[in-house]
Amino acid sequence: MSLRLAAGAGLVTALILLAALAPLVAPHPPNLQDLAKSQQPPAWVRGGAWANPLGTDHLGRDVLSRIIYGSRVSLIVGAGGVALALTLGVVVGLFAGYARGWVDDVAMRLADVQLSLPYLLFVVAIVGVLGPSLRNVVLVFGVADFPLFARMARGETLRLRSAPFVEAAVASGASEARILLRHLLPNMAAVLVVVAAFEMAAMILYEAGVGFLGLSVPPMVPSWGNMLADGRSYLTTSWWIATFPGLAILAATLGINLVGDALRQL
Amino acid sequence: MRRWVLAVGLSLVGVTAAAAPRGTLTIGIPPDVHTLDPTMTPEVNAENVAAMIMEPLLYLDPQGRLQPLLAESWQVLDPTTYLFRLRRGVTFHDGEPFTGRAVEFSWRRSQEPHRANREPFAPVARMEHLDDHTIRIVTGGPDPIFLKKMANVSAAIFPPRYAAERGDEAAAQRPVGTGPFVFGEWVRGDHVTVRANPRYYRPGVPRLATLVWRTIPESDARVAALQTGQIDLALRIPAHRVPGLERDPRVKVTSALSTRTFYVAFNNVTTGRGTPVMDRRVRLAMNLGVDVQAIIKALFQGQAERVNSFIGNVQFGHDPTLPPLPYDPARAKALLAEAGYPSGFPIGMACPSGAYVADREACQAIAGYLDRLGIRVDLQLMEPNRYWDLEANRQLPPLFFDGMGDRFQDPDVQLKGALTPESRWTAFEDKALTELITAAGSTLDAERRRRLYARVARQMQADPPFLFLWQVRNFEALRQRVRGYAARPNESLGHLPFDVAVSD
Repeated sequence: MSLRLAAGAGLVTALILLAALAPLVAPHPPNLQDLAKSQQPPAWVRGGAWANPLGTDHLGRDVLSRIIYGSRVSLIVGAGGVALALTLGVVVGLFAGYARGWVDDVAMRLADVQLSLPYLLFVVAIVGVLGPSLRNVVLVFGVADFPLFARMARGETLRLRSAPFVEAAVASGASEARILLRHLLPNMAAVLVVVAAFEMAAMILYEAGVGFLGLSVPPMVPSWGNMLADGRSYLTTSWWIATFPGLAILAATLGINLVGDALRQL
Repeated sequence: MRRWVLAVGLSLVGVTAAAAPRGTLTIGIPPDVHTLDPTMTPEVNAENVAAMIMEPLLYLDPQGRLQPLLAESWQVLDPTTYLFRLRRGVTFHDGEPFTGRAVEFSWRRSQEPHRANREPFAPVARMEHLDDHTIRIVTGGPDPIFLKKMANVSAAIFPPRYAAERGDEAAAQRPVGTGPFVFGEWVRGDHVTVRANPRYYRPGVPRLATLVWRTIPESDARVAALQTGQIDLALRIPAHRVPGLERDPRVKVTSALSTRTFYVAFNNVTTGRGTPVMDRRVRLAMNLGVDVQAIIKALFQGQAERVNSFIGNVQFGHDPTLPPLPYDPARAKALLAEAGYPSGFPIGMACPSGAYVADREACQAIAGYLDRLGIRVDLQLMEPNRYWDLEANRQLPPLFFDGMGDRFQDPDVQLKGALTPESRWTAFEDKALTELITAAGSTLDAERRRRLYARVARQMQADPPFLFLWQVRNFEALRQRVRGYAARPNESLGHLPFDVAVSD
């Protein structure tokens, strides 16, 4: 169990460090194109060289450097999307659960409407209109995912507001703001954090998915999804172009999920 | 000039005399079919489907000779007057008889301003009906390739009654013609099916009972579909897949150097107005800053040829003495500095994704080279049909990637199509260039015409309307059961009804 946490924490730390220190760690600039070195295999395969440890893509760009820079996109989308969804969701959920009545009805029906839209359809429609950019992807993921957090926050609020310590706070004349922020919010944080971890892993995966469809960041930006899309037509001839970003996605989502799992069992 | 051309083309089908059509051939094509009205699209795959159903007056055979089709014979009376004797007893698929009225109707219809392909019939000034099946066509001026234009599917003959009763939409979606195949069904985004026309006027044609065109945008999916036998013929195969396919005993590969010339166009008419591409030095710098040979080697396995202008290496008028613009990044940088952009500038560039072999990759590579000059390219990849819609409306960004070819190895159609103000596809207007192109297009003397195209190419290098790229060797792969098929430089499949069959 603690091994899992250690493994997960290790992977997540590595991911964050890579993203933060990309210019220092990456052996080459991510968009440095050298067509003379096109489709060079990884270093340990015949024809490879240690200058490009994981090989080069069809334009001779260093796969390792692109993966390192690509972690930034994944991390920003994962963290940014979850932060937005969490903030929106908690605000809506808290108020709905606390106020009940028509506020609750309206908020929850809105969340239902949102949940009834297929995720991908929503993303395709919005990004299609706004155009692919990092900001838009974060925005769309945050909005698409907020009902989940809203429902959780509302459920927790309903459960907690009849708890003895909340009733005591009400009886002692605490203001509504104080009850919401000091009594309700901290007590639901544990649950929300666990879900947030899983959602972050899911968003990294989704980003790669919509990136593969050409709906995430612009095509020249190094991102894992873009790398998968670039590499698909070379799968039979140059497997490394798509395989390593795939492994990076696996490692990142695995790490975050392990952390979430460990947190849940605390 | 008075000379009757005899109907020698009948010998063309004589060998397969009256064998009943049999078998199904399934073709995997890259971009989705957009419309089946050949006057509405210059996209060759859509034209190829339409050409199975609708026919023009003449047929250009794989050897480049004109053969009779709906016209049995023809005569050039003087440089602007042509006499066509039309085939008698031909009916459209819905029973309407084919006469000279249908030819006149099709000409007038094709010249409506919203049509994308006005070019083939554009030279016609008037038509005179000597009788129901004899028509005299007078052109506005001499046109050295007018007869070849009459073999273009964009000059196909439409049924006047059907078009009048059912409207334009029906013509585009459930086309009716005189061709060897009858429209079957069209499931958008998936496939178009056509079936052998039992009343076709040539015995033994077509040799196939059913023909299915399946849209498979991903080149790897096309290859996989071919290898599993879901399709019999896969068009536009990337060069790097060819060695693997050649090892597969169920498959054979055929190729031809395509007339399609690729370029990155500059827009100086709409979106490019006021941007740095208005400056000749900037456009020249971009041409000098992209190592086209390196791209050809890396992305096409060397299976493409650098072009020196927008006149392809296999086209009439190509000047082999004019070297392509060299790769010279130092001079490119100097030119940019001279134009006032020493540290470059940001600019938008659009690219169709999945229309041509390696289109997406090529655009990335070009953007990578421009980036080294400090030109920060905002690259937008688009679904091909949406892309071509925007292109026809001149709404693409100031730079956009495309390729244009022609049916008869003559640059006239593509030059007029991309660089004269009359065309919907023109995003770059240059009076001097337009005048040269128009002059070359109305010169009958081959030698003088050749010299004019040499001047066109030089003018293009001096003041580039495009970033000139390459023409690719087109690879196509087919199952062993397909007989009589070979890739053609013009990507046309007009010969398919006559030549192609399948064995079981």
